[in-house]
Amino acid sequence: MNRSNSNDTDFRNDGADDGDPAGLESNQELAIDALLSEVLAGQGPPDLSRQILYELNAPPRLTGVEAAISPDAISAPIVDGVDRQPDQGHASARPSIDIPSARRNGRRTWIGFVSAVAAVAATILLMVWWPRASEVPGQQRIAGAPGSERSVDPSGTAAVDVADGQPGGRSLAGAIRTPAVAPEPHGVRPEPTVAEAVASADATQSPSTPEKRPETLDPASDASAADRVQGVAMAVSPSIDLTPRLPTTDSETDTASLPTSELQPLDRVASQTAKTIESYWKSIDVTPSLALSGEDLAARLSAVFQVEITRQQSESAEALRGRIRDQDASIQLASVWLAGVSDRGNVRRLGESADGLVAEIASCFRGQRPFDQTLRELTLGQNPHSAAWYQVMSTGGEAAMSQRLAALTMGADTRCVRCHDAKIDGRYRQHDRWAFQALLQQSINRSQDGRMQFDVDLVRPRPAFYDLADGRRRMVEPGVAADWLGSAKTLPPPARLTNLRQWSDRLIGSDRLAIGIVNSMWRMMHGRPLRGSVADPNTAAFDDALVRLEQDLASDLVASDFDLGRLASLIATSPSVRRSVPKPLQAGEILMASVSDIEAARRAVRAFAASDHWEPRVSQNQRLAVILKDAGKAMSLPSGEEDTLLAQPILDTKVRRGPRDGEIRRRDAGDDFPRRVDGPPVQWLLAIPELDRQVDHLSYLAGRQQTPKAVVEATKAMQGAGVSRDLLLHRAWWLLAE
Amino acid sequence: MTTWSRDLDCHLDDFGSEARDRYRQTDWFVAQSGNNSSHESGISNTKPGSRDPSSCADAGVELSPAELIEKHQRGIWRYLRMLGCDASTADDLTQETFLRVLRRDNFVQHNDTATAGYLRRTAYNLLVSRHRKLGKVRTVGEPAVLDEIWDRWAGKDLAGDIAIESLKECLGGLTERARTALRMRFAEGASRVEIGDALGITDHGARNLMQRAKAQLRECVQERLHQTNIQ
Repeated sequence: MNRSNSNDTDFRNDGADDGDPAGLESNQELAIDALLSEVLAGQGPPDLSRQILYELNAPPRLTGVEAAISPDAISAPIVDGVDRQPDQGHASARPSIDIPSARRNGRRTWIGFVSAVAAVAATILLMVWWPRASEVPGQQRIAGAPGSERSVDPSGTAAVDVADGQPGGRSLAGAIRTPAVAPEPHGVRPEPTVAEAVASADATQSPSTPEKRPETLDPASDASAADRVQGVAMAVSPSIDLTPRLPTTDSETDTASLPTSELQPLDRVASQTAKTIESYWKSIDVTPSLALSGEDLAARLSAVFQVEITRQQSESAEALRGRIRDQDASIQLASVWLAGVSDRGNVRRLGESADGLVAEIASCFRGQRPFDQTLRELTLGQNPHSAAWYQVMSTGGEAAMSQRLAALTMGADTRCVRCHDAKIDGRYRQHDRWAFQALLQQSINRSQDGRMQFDVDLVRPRPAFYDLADGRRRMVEPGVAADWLGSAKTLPPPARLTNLRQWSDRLIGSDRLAIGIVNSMWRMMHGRPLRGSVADPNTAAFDDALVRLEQDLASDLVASDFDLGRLASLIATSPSVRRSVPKPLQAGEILMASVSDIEAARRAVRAFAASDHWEPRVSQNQRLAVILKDAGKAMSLPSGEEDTLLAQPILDTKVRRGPRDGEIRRRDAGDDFPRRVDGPPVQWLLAIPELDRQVDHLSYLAGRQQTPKAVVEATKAMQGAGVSRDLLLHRAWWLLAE
Repeated sequence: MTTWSRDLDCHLDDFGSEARDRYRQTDWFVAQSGNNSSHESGISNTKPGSRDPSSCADAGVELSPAELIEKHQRGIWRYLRMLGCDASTADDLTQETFLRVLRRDNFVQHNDTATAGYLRRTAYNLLVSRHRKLGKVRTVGEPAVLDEIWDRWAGKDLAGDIAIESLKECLGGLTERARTALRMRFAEGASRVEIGDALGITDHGARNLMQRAKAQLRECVQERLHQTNIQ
């Protein structure tokens, strides 16, 4: 996407002045736009020295057919960081660019020609032979939408096309639907046949694919690639992984085998959820705080949903589900959820252009459309709101978008693997993360008129490059790693998926998608995902009961055909939402409470057994002002924010109410300002000796692509004031948290 | 003389004697030299093939390819971005520019400024060629105009680093609303409608806000560049 391209339609006439025949003013506009893109969007110039020098010193390049058929036109893996010859088939065939001094060898030309003819003949034979060889005896064909006949392995579960209204439904039989029979939405072209898929794969693999040189991703302009973590063994793969990887079977992480179940009545599931949560608290020895009154709970839900919820509606999952089915409630809830998964911060920042998208998602909250199918359409560009979807999810750039989509669609936490393999949670590799980002970058483009285009089959993928933590460069092919996807019950796990179509097909009925949605919905309610990363400061303690809770909610979501409203009502009426703020963390009490009481209260908060705050947090500016004031430095706040920065905490304990009552609690900026701590926010920070690097890592953990200026300023001030490192890190985290 | 014309003059020998003489007789060259007769310019007194390095600014030692790339790549990339390229196109064309120039048998590094100008011209030509090949109809300014603009922003700082640093400092002088609007526009790709909604103003108001902010930034950056004496 060219969001920063000054030729974007929306801003084409931003600064154009009439009467500028020399184009000076309009070109000045382009100049400053380019500089602003660099400063604000972090799109600075990459270091291309290595690529240029490599090309400069490479053997003379053949052009056209000679390049395609050259024996060297096969990419070699990069081993131990030593660059071998790049894929000459990709890099070399650029007949449109005059490459001087190309030598032609007659003998090589002849051999190459014969090889090319043989390759073409083999491909044709394969296309003719393969469809016959791949048919399984007894294979059935199910007629679905016109032009979209599909086949189903009779050993698997026969799924039906819900769009055709076939009886039997999807989930009452307890089967996980195969993605291969997803109904065709919006009358788009049918699923590729196996022959087409093979031809497509052949085209992808063919060394004769003319393509420009490998693109350079932009990983290092925000300095994140320069991080070096000391004292912890790195798990860097020495080579490009070309072998299929099976899903992990670790009991803690194995979500590939979610128990399939019939769709239970909602209140029964709610009751079971409550028991699981309570058993979790018991097993980790946490005492939940007092429960909120019915009125306060309704007010809390109204604040979160941003729509009025009555006391009666908040009392049971079934009642709340009914409320969510209302048009106004579903739209508001969809807005809030979308603002959360896109990290937009608040609903207003979604903008009018997302209205259609919100309405689409709202239908999933009302139970009118399965969200997995809607998501598949959005992903493939088959939905009228696909462009809005990607626009919304791309806040902060392509790296942030890939991070968000990985989390939502596959439950994959890739925050820590931009620069290195995951050091604590070993599931995620840097290589896979960049492969996924490359897939998105190359599959989604903007045309000249600003419209978004989707290359769903990615026939001509280009290798991409990323930096290892030690500065070496590594090449990666676009794709999605198999063990990010979990397993589909009726399809063998692929080695990896290499285009949007394959990836989105796997979303249908996906357990990983269900887990991603569960955590996003939990985060909407509690401010944090249900099962966060062990790297997170505020993650809940791991326990079998927590894993079971996540799996139960995900299973129910799959069984309900990804009914988002049902999931929302389950979570919103769970015991964790009813918890009050524990006394040691209340305004005015925190100054008198002991460190152990504070820590116990925070532990309860982390385990969702207590609440920390519900009102909208004060702005980052105000929090920065609190830090600087504490460090003895002054900071002038924008007008309107100064009056909320008080020296003394307010003892007002009224809860913010919804639209029915406009009374709003006036929250003091320093209510939860960290004053006494016991150790760093997370222990793994101790493995990083430099303070700056520790703060950087907290920023990445908070989902930022680089450390915000406010945090840098606060860190310097606190250092100057002699604040202890542990406390400094806690305050930096407090400043970063949304 | 403008930077570009100085650069060109430093390259005149490269064009061969016939082309060099032809250029020096053009009205344009005479005008750029600031004299009525090309023969009266100090430069024209230079004998062919015996270029006086001191007549060209920033005369220096010839750099290795790696040093050359290190010195100029940021400037070329930013120049291409200024021409309207997106980041990945700028990456591609930056690489291609250096490969083109470094593979030329007759490329001679007269000085940094001349080399930078030469690289920029090559980058410009590659961009125009690319547009033609892709069938795009794009309005790209005239090279002289673009170089004038580049001069204003980068001047002697060939990479444009000082302009970037100045811009970062100047952003602090904007109001919070203006910074928010620009951040939404450039970092998040928000539309004017979205920006207007977020700030509680119309989309037209958002446009005006950003235009004023950019004008303010331009003045601020120009002032800082002037103070650092690089223009």
